[in-house]
Amino acid sequence: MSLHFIYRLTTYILAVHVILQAIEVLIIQRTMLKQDLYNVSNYSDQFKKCPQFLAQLFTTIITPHFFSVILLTHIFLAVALIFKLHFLILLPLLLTHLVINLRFLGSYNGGSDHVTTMVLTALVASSFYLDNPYSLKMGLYYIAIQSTLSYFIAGYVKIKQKSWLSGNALRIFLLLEANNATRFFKKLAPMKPFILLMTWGMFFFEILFPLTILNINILMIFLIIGFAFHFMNFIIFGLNRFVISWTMTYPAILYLSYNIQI
Amino acid sequence: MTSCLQLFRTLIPKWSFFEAVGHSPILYIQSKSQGAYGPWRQCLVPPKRHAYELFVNPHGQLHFLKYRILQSFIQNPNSNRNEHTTEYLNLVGLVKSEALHLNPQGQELRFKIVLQTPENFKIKKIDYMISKEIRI
Repeated sequence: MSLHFIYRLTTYILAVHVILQAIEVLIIQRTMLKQDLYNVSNYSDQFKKCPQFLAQLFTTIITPHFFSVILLTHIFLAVALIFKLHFLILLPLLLTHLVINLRFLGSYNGGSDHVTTMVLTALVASSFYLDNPYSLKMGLYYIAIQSTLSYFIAGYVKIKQKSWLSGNALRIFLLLEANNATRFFKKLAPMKPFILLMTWGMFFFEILFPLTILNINILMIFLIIGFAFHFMNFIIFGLNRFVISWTMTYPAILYLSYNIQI
Repeated sequence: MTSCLQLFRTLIPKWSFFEAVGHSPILYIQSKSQGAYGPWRQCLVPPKRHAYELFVNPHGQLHFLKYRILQSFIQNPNSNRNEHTTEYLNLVGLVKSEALHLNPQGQELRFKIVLQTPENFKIKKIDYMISKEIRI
């Protein structure tokens, strides 16, 4: 398994993911302006907690005109990343990504933003010494460990809760209007065996995920399950961004597993 | 300064998703035209989903963003009392645009927030607040 191939593959997926995200925000921005949503003039209460020069800087860079430039720059940098891997492309890409999150008061899409930022920071740090294989390896290992932890921690915090253990949390999660679950799954929600199977299946997958790194064949199966898990979240709850966000970390996890076994 | 750093919170990995399933707000709007208020109408109805939205999903994301305004309002205890908070101002912007969408002739509005709360294996709806009159 070639280090450079895996590293580059991660950057390709990241670039595509970032382009799709930015296009989405570009489309949304028009509606936001028309409907007066997330008006920058509402942000003074948030920004007053920052040093004055930062507050002024933030207010300027997220004004609609400037923000469009940021979004287009973001897309341009992501396209450039497809053609050339360079620290000076990745660093501004991370900065524009942070500005996009700043526009939405810190996070645009929760977990998906955390993964994108984590992958970007790892790639920025490791690409500073692009000629050093050790640096690239550390970047991939960091992505792999964080992604593995993301599954484990998500499972661990749930398995401690009585409501999750009984399946009740998932049932309620499916029924709450805000989560917008599909009608089909809302109908399945009161069925205890279905809910317990889904809940415990999720625990099994999330908690055991770190162990699978020790065996690449089992890991492959878990990665397929992982992809299916995120895809189902898209089908049931419409969480489309999670699919590519986590898939982008899979090559790094495979690389870590491959190296542990050798 | 801590709150300022909050604006860059994605830099710190956080993986404890959906740890607790808690209150979930629902927004209702009542708008006034020709001197009388109409019925309460539910806002933020989620858009229909399509398979192609796996890659680019602006309608779904816009819905999430709108819903997050409502959630942030609930999560910040000051936003209910202080009309200068970002959460309150964002919510007013949201309810105005939703009210105009529901009733383009509306001149004033009131909004109501109802919480869906899990209780004894059931989901209960509890009135959280009704706003004062707001000019559109």
